[in-house]
Amino acid sequence: MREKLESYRAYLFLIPGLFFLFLFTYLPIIWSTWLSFNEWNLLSPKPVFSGLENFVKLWQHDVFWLVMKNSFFFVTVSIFPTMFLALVFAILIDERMKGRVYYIYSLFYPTLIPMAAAAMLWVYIYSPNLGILNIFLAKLGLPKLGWLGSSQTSLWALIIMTFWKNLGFFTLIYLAGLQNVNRELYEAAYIDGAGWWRRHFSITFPLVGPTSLFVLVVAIILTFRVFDQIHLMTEGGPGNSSNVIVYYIFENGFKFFDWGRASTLTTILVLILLSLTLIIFGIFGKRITYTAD
Amino acid sequence: MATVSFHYVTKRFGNFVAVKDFDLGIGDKEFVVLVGPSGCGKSTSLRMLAGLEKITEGTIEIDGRVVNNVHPKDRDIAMVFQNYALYPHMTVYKNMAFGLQLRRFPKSEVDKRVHDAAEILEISELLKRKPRELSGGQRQRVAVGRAIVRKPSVFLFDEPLSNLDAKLRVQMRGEILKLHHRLQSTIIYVTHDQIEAMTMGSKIVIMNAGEIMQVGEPIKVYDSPDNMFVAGFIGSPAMNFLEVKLISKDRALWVDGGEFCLPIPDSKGQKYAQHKGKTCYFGIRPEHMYDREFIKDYDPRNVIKARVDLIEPVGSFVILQIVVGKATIVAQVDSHTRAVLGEEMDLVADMEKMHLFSTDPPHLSLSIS
Amino acid sequence: MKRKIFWVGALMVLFLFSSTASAKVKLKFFYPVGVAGPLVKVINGMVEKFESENPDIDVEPVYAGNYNQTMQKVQTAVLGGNPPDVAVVEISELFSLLQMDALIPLDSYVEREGGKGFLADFYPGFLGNAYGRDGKIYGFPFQRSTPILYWNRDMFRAAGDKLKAAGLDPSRPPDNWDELVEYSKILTIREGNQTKQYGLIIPGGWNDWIFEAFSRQNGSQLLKEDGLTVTFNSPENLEALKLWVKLMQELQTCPVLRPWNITPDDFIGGVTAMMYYSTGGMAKIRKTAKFDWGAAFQPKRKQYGTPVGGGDFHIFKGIPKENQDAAWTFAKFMTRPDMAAHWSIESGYVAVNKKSYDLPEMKAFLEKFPQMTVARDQLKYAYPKMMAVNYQLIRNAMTTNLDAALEGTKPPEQALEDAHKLMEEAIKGS
Ligand SMILES: Nc1ncnc2c1ncn2[C@@H]1O[C@H](COP(=O)(O)OP(=O)(O)O)[C@@H](O)[C@H]1O
Ligand SMILES: [Mg+2]
Repeated sequence: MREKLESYRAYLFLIPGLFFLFLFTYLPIIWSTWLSFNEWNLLSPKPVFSGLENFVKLWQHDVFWLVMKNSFFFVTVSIFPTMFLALVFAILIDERMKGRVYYIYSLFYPTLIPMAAAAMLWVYIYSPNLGILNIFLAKLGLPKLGWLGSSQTSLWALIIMTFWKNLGFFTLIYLAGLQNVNRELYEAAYIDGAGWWRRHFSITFPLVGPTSLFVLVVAIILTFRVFDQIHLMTEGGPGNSSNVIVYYIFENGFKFFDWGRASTLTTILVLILLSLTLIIFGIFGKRITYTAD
Repeated sequence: MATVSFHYVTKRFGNFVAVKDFDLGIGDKEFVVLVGPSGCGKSTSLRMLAGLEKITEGTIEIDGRVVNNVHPKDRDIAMVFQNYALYPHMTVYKNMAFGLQLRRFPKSEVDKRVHDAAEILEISELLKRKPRELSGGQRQRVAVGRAIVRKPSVFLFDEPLSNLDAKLRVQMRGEILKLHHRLQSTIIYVTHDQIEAMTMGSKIVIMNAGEIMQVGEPIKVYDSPDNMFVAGFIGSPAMNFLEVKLISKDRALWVDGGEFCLPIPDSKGQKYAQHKGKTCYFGIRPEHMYDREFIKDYDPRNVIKARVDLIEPVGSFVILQIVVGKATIVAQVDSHTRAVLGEEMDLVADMEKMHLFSTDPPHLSLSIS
Repeated sequence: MKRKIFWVGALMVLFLFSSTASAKVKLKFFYPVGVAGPLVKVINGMVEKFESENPDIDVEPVYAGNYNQTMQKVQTAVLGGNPPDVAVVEISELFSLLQMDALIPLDSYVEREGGKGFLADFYPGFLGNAYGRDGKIYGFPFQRSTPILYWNRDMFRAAGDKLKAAGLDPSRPPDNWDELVEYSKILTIREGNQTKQYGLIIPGGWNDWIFEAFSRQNGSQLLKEDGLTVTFNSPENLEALKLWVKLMQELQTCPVLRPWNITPDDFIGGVTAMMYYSTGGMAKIRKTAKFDWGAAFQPKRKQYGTPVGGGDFHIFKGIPKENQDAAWTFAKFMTRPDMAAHWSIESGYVAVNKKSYDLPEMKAFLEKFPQMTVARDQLKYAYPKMMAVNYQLIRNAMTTNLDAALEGTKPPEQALEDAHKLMEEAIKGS
C-alpha cells in the first residue's frame, strides 16, 4: 500500500518534467511531421494537405542530394579524427604530460568561446590573401587555396574549423571517462612490458568503450546539426557546396519561407538520426565492456 | 635465485618525504613482509622496487645489479596489486597470457604456462570467464596466477588480501605460503595487518612514517621490540605502557608506578642498572598478565591491584580493561575469570616478559641502549 | 518580515504605475550592416541624438546581422506575431514583406509632410524600390548605395609604363569593359605560381547585384519591373557572364568568389588594384587605406548602368498607432538633411536627401574626398533593383548558378538557363 503511494508520488514529481518534454520536444516533432505532408509557403500561406508531394519534390531536387552528400561527408570525415585525437589528448592530459597547461588552454579555449566569435576568427584565418593559413601555405611554396570562397574547399574549411571547435568538448568527455579506468591496470601492463601505445591500445581504448559509444552518438548528432558556423561563414555557398541539412532546413524555412519543405527535411533528419542511433546501439551496445566490477 | 637490497633509499613527493633512508637486504627465497600503519611508505617502497616510482636518493639492487634506471619489465619481477588490476575486458586466460604475449613467448609455451598456473591455483575451469564473473577470492587467484606465469625471481604483493573477507583471508594466507614453498622465489609482501605479517613473514620489516623501525624474524620482533612503536604495533591486543620510575630497594631494581611497585628479575636487572633513578615507560603485554586465582606459583610482589572497567569474553580467553591509578591497561586472562565489573581484583605480571622504554623519542628499548 | 513584504509590494506597485504613467513610446528598430566597417557605432550615435531630440520616444536599436540575417529576423518576428516597429531591410525584399502583409503604407505620412514636394527632396533613383504593386509607398530610403569601381592610383602609377605601352592612361580607371580587361591584365602581378597582385576583384556573396549592374550596362536586366518576367538568360547577360568567366578562369586577373566582407580588406591590403564594391564600404577605405585611391563609375558597355542597392525603412503592421507615428518620426529624422549627411560621411553611403549636399559641412567634406560624389553622380544611370516575391529563393537561384559558372563547374549558358528556370518556378503563382 505504502509502496504504491510512493510510486504515485514519483509520477507526480515527474509530471512537470514530462509536461515540458512533451511541450518542447515531442509536440514540435509531431507537429513538424504533420507539416511534412502539407504545402505551406509564402505563396500558400495556410497549410494544405498535399500527401507525399514534399518528399517527392525533394527526391527530384539536385540540391537536396547535394546537401545530403555534404552532411554525410561532414559527419564521416570529421567524427573519427575528432574521437581519436580527443582520446589521445585526454590521455596525455590525464597522464600529466609536460606542458599540459598549454595544451589544456589551447584545447579548451575554442570550446569556450562563442561560435560567433570563432566563426569571425576563422573567416580571417581563411582569408585568401591576408589570412594566416594561405600566408603559411605560400611560405611552404604551396598554392594558396580559396577556402571559404571555393566550392572545392568550403566544406573542408568548415570541417576543419568545427574539428578545432569541438575537439576540446570531446576531450573533456573522454577525460571524465578515463577517470573510470583503474590506474593499477596501467601499472600492471607497464610491468608486463607494454609500451605507451600498447597500454592504451590494449587497455584504454577498450575500457573507454562506453564513453566512445556516447561520444560517437553525440558527435554524430552534433555534426549533423552543424549550423552556426555555416550561417556565419559561408551561408552554404559557394553554390551550395557547403550546404548541410540543418542549414538547408533553415534556408527553406526562414529564407525561402517554404515551411512544408523545411518540415519535410526536419522529418528526414529526425529519421536519419534515430536510425543511426539505433543502428549504433544495436551493433555496439551489447559488446561494450564496462569497467565497473 | 634473487637477492634484493635497498641502500639508503629516500623518496620525496615534492617536499613530502614518503620514505626515508630505507636500508634493507633481502636474501634469496626469503618471504619478507613490510608492515606498518597506513601511509607509512610501504607501497612507495615496493613501487620503487617495481619501477613504478622514481627513486629520489639511494639505490636498489636486484641480484647485485643496480636497477634505479632499469625498466620495470626488465627487472624480472611480478606484482600483485591490492585491487587485483585484472583487465576487465579480457578473459582470465587472456589476463594471464597478456604479459607473456608481450614478451613474444611462443603460443604453446604461453598455453602451457597459463594452464599450469591455473592448475596450481585451481582456477582451470574459470579460464574463459571475464573478471566481473568471478568472486573476490577467484579474482585474487587470477591476479596471483598472472604473476606466476611469468616465473619472475621476485614477487611483489601489495596488500593482496585486504579486499577479502576474514575467512577467505586466512585461507589465502596459507595458500600464498604454500605457493612460496613451491615456487622457491623471493617474495616481498606489503600489509598493514600485523597478524598477516607475523604469520607469513620469514622476516618482517616494521615501518613508521617512512622509516624502518625494526627488521627481524617475527618472534624476535615480538619478544624484543627495539622501540615502543614496534612494541605497540606488534601483538594484539597491544602492549600496555605505564609511566614508572626505576628505583632500587632491597638490593633489587623496581619499577615504581605509584599505585604499584614491581620488582625487576635479576636476569634483567643488570641491563637496566645504569638507568636507576630515571623515569621511563614500563611495557607489559596483556597476555603476560594473569588472573591471580588461576596460577599456582607466583611471586606475591608481582601482584597489581586494579579495578575492572570492562569485560570482553572472546571465547578462548577474556580481555579485561582495568584501571590502575590514572591509567587504563588491558589484560588477557583465563576465560573462566570471576572478575566483576567495577570491583577490585589482583593481577600477576610476568616480569620476565617486561620491557622498558626511554621517555625520549624515539622511545628506544632500555635493554639496547 | 511582514513589513519587508509590504515595502517590496509597495515598490512594485509604484514601479508599475511609474512605467505606465510616463508612457514613453518604445520602438524596436532592426537594422543590418551590409558592408565592412564599424557602422553599428554610427547607428547607435544617431539613435542617441534622436532620443535627446524626442524625449518621449525610446528607440532600441537591434543590430540584426547582414542583410540576409536581418530579413530572416524580421520575417520570423512578423510570423511570430511580434514584429519590430521599424526595420531596415534590403530593398529587394519589399514584395516578400508585402506578401506577408507585414507593412503599412506610408502615403498618409508623406501627404502630411507635403506629399510630392516632400518627396522631391529625395533622389528619385532611391525611391524606385519604395513602391508596392498597388502604387502605394511602403519603403523610405535610408542606407543607399550603388556598386562603384574603386581603384588604387598608386598601383596604376607603378604600372604606368606598361599601361602607356598598351595605350592606356595610368591616371584614370577603365571606362568600358574592354578597357577593364586590358587594365586588369596589366595590373595583375604574378610570381611563380602565386598571384602577388590581382588586377581586379569582383567579389562573391552579392555578385548577383553586381551582375545586375553589368546587365544594365549591356542594356538588359535580370527581371522586369513587374517582378514576373524573367530575363536572366538574355544574350546580353550571357555576354556579361562570359566576361566574368574570362576574367576569373581564363585570364585569372580576378580571383574567384572572393568573400564579400573581406574584399575591402584585400583592397586596403594591396591585394588588388581595382574592386567592385558598394559605396557603403567607402568610409572604411577612406579611414584605413594608406595609399592614393579613387572611385569611379562602373565601366560601361552599351551605356553606364547600375542598380541601386541598400536598405529602406519600413514600418510594420500589428503595432499600436502611436508606435507607427513614432516610427515615422524616427525615419524622417534619420533621413533629414543633416542626419543623412552625417550618415553618408561616416559610412560612405549616398545621402538620400538632396539637401544634404547643400550643407556646408558636406561641401567641405566632399572637397576633401571627391570620391564620395561618384555614387551620387552615378545615380543618373541608376535603375531600381530587381524586386520579386520570394526574392530570397530567386537570389539563391542566381548566386548558386553564378557561383558555379565562375568556378568553372557549369558552362555560362547552362548556368543562366538553370537560374532562369528556377527563378520562373519561384515566381510562379505570385
Ligand atoms: N604520488 C604521490 N604523491 C604525493 N604523495 C604520495 C604519493 N604516493 C604516496 N604519497 C604519500 O606518501 C605516503 C606513503 O604512501 P604509501 O607508500 O602509499 O603508504 P602505505 O604504507 O599505506 O602503502 C603517504 O602519506 C602518501 O600520501
Ligand atoms: Mg599501500
